[in-house]
Amino acid sequence: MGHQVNFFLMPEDTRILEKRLREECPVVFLDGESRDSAPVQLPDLEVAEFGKTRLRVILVQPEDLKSVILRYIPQQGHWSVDSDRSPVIELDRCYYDGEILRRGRLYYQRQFAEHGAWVEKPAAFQAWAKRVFSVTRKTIQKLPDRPYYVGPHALAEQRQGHVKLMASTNKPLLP
Amino acid sequence: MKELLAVSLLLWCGLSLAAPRVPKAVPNKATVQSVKTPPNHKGRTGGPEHQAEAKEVAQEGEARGLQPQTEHMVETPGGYKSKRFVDVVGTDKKTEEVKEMHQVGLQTKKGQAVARERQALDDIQKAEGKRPEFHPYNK
Repeated sequence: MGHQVNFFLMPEDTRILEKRLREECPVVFLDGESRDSAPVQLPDLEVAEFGKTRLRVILVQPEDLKSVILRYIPQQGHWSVDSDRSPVIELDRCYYDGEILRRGRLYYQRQFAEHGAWVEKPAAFQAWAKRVFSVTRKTIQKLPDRPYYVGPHALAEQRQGHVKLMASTNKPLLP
Repeated sequence: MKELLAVSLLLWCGLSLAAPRVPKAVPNKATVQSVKTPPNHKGRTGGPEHQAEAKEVAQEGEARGLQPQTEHMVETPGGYKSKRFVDVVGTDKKTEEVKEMHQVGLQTKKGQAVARERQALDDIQKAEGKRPEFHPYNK
């Protein structure tokens, strides 16, 4: 079963979250894709250019780096982190184009299926993942009666009518 | 003798009225239902067979250049449930825009999605304006 936090974060909010995560949990950021079989580390969670930068980042504990599994995608000619089987958390950063802010999320699975049976991921990974989720939830606030969290900058921008928060549909989340 | 009979009759009536009525042993419906296995006892992500099919669907999307996202949450106000989790969506890697939606589940002998899955598909379609593609894992 997967665990997830869905959120709306402006780039400033993502910076705040990154700072809090670095303070509270040992974490390494990886690109979701790689040209070869070794994962590529990212210096931070900054999106270089919206619309051109891939938004998925993989969060991993430093001690779990060696356990990260990459899978070759022959049709695309690149390697991809197998987050299903690896002790990692997926972070999909929010897309922002100056008008709309698309939702992002943190997601991990505590187990995966292999040969028709469940394989539980290590307890140390699960404890770390819970900590990452806890820090995230405490850093941003939950929208009342909605299953989404929102960063302070995103909320302020939305309230001023500068940005529309978009879930998966093309309808804005809040009026 | 008549008095004795009358007293006995009174005693018998009193006893039969005072005696607690033992209820007929009928099975407690709630208890019976609670021990039955619910139809979707493996929960949101299903069992290993469901997961294997979902993984295959995700990998097919990835091969087409999409970013697979499993258990994609969708709010479904006015639906059978208030929110649903699409088993797999394929998103644009650089904009997070959802391009494809896929639901994995059981099908009937006639090849139709089971009622539970049809309700999920209906809810998602109503909310997103697009019906997810259904992938049975008991083909």
